[in-house]
Amino acid sequence: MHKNKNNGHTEVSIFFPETVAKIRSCLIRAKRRIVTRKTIPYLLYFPAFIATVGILYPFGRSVVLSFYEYNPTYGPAYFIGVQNYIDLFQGVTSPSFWLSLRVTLIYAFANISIQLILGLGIALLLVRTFAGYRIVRAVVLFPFMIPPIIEAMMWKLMYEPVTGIINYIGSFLGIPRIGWLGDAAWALPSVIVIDVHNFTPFVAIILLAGLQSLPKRPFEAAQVDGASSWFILRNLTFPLLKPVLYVVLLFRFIESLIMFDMIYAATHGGPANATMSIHVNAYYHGMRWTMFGTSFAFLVILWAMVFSGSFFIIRAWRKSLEARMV
Amino acid sequence: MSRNKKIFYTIAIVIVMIWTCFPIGWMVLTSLKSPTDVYAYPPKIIFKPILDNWLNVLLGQEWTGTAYITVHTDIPRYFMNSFLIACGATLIAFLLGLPAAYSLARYKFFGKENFAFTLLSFRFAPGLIVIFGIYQLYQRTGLFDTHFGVMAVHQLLLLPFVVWMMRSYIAAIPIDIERAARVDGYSWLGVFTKVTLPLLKPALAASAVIAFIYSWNEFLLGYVVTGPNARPMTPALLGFISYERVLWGQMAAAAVLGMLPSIVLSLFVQRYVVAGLSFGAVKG
Repeated sequence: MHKNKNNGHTEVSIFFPETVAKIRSCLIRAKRRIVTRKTIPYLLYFPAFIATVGILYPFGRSVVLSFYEYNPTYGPAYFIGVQNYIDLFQGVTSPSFWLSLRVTLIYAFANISIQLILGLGIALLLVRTFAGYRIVRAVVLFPFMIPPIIEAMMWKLMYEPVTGIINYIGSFLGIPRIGWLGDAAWALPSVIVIDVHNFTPFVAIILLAGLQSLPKRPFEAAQVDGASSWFILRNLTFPLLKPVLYVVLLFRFIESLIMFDMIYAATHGGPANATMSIHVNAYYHGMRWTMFGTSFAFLVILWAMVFSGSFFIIRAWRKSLEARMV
Repeated sequence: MSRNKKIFYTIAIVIVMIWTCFPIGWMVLTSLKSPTDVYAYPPKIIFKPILDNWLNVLLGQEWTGTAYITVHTDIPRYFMNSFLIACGATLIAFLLGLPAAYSLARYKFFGKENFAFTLLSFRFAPGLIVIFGIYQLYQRTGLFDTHFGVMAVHQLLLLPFVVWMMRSYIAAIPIDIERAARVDGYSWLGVFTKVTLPLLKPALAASAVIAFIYSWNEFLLGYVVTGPNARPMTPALLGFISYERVLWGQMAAAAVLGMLPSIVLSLFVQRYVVAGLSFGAVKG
């Protein structure tokens, strides 16, 4: 300890200029030794890497636990191998699984096909620069910005059997009064309509950008040669748009298979399990009935479906990119 | 263009606009209806709008016929929760993701593409498969029902987005500019702060806004790891459906409030929306 340089003060200070200077030069030398040209990339992505590992750990744990019988209310987890999966396909939980698989596949297929077609149509409509096109493009995007759960609430309001606007309008068109979200036959189509309303703008805006990026000369040449609009659409627009279509397909494929928010908010799994997709079913098995082993098995299968499907879509996307490079 | 075609296009665009705006408009109208109007049959399109629902939801004031009394409302608190969580999650995503994006864009290193693809594959995963493990971890470490816990969980969505967006924008900056700054004597950090960051500002702003929207709209992760304390607004609105089935007016007001930030913010990033939505796969 040394006296402070200020005269008249009796306070003593542990830090004085020489040690501070030594610490500084030590740190600078350490920094120079750690932060070299070779180590900079690793240092930069290290925090994100830690976060990635942090996410992979619960994921891996869930996968591992899918091989256990894990039901906290009845006792500790014990290893049962692939029994959970066998149960899914032909055992105890099999009816529930096949039902969920059917619901999920119908939901995904319907959503993807409807949204791609409608989205392409809207994109073709909006690609022109008509009066007020900027406002229209901005407004068309709004439904996509709405959180899926709020979108579901919005449509629940309209789907109300007695006081809802849809049945009211339907009464003018001769459509009988249907329970929509409460009707086991109509619940899944109703939720699909909600999903279409929510996500078609996404498809439309991205396809619109894709349309705008297409080269103009092939289209001008085709028009000079007198090709019909339909011909241009089928043989010129569509093949050139394939890469963008695959990108959109990838996103919609993934998101419609793992969609939870909207289905759960709209029907909680549906009247008589009509809208019980795999993800919602896994939620019930896990969070409600604490059958975690089964729940994780559901989720691993869902994830495998998404992953393998994405693999094929990405491969087709890469191939279409090369084809365009001609 | 022939006149018939023009009419066709105009009608088609009008139909699309009605399809897009009608549900939103209907809910806004419902939020302005008194309880008798909400349950009127046939549904009323022309009615006397009242602000009671909004007063109840926002300020907790209920009109009892003679005066305003204060009733309990949770919505402002959930709104603040969502706001804090979204801001914090975006900040964390950029603190972690921006350096990672820079290293992915500029350098070659061991396990580079593996890391990039693993990060992207988080989007493929159903939320629940990750969230159960995190749920138990949070229960044990006390992060359950904390704002920070939700911010960390939202990284599952935001981090891949930020890294991939920033990666393509950083890669678009010619490296010669940075080399020139290096030659001029700047250290690595100086190059980053004085050259790269200013060039990235528009992309940074747009990505931050889109990340905020993603975090705001997120439901499942925020639902599982929170209790009443740190619950974001989207899971909180679910409570309206289960318990207050009768109060459509207030539910509508709360729902409009819940969608407002995302919609308003989307107007600011119109130019970057396409690149943002497709993770930079399609240039805006």
